[in-house]
Amino acid sequence: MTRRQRLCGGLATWLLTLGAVRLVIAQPEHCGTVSVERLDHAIDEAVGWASRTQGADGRFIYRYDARADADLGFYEFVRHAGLTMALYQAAGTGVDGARTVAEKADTYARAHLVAAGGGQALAPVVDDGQYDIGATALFLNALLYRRALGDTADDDTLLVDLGRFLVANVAPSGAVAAYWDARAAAPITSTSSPFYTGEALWAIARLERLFPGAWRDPALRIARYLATTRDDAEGRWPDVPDHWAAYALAEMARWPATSGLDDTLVAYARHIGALESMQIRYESQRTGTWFSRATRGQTGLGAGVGALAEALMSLRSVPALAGDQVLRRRAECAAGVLLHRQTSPTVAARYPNPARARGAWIRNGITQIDDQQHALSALLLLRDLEATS
Amino acid sequence: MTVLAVVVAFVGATNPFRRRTALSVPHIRTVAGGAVAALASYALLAIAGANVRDTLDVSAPNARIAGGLVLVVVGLHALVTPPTAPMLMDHAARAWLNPVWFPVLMRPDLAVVALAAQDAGGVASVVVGAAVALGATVCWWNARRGSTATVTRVERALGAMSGVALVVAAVRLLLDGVFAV
Repeated sequence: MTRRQRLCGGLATWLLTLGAVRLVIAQPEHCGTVSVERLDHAIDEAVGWASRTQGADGRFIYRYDARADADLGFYEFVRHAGLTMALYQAAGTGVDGARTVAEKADTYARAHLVAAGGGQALAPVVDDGQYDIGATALFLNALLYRRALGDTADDDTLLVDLGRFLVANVAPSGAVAAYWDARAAAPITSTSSPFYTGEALWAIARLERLFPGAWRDPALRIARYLATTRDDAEGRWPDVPDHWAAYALAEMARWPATSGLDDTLVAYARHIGALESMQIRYESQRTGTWFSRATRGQTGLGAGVGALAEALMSLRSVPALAGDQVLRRRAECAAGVLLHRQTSPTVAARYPNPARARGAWIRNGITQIDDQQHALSALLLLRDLEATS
Repeated sequence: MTVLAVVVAFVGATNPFRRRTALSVPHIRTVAGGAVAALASYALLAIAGANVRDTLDVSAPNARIAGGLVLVVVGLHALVTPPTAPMLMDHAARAWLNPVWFPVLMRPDLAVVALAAQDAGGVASVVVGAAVALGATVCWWNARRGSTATVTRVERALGAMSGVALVVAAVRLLLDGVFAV
């Protein structure tokens, strides 16, 4: 082989290797640009979507086919409570109109409160005797945000009642049943959910901050279960990148007197951060083109990307992670992805009913209320950080 | 990046036992000259890594994943294929540049690993890894001038073992990238 041939062979190897790496493995991560102005606009648009799709009874269009302008006709309380919570969060940061929408959704939910587990729970829209723990947990979180708006104690009895119901579903191990059997008046201990456990933990951890004392033990039990046992005990692989647990850990770090976070929980916080970071590094490579779909799959749901950002932002309240600039960059990246994928007025105009498309995160023509819930919460958290730094 | 994984990756991918036959030059100073140039090149890539990655919109962990994946392929290749046959001796004055520096010692798979260096520690890991690997290559080349059939078989086995070590280190880099923040 001559020198020239070896040189050409070497160049070809470099080109092929680097070309394959760029095309297939290390695709660009599209994080976009995040600014307070863009965040404010996106938040207003998301709240506007909630306002435009809310009915007189306080319900939203749960799952919407934007291409056919059709309500896909399903409803349940977990996500209703979730969006209500996000709207109260928005109201807390002064977003115009958010509180009015949240109050209507709140009123609808309150009509479904029932006595259960020594407290109160949110019964399903069509009461089949099985209550989602997640619905009550998120509704309690929504009311905690509402309480912060006016610092009113009007709902304190209800808050404690909802908390008691949640605690009734916590096993000695810290596991949380996913459903409550109303007929047997007992948790269905054979059930579990990847998200309800963290949702319950977050709500209980917030109660401990508000009414210190009684909530500390169940919160710590759940947190340790999540950190050490949950994924194995519930057969969850890969490990759950639990954004609700991230919210809860952030709350526990702020508990009065002493932080609830020990080394185990801090290590768990890092683990969640790594899982969420991995996902946003992957998600940000998705562009929706045919090549991207072939090599990276279709773009994630607004709910999914929003949850990533929520977790990454929440973890910054864990003191051991507060100064982690990489974590912040990943959160900003997730927010950038959300900003880019939100349906703008221009794009909405291509749908038959632009008012119901605008401000939403639509994938394959469909959007669901939790797309807006998670994205809105994420953008609010990042807005708060960007404005204060 | 863990220092050990990077060192093993560099040694495994440079693979002194498989590279000797490709280093078809008569003098050790030619091999050493190319090795020094390669060391400087990898160091520069590691130092420039953050800027290059920013330009390409690739995070350090994703670059590490890319390097790990490529090195897995290179390691498996070393495991299942024989080394290249001895080549004609190159007596040119600039043989340290071509073929020694490029294409034999300056490799695209290791360039990706060098570009993944995230901070000062990462740059140091790359420099140490490259120095160990290139130093070993020069030493092995010098020790193995004039070979017997038995020694050649041993060299081939060592080359394959380097491939195995490379696969292990590459998987470590890959997982390091996947689970990094």
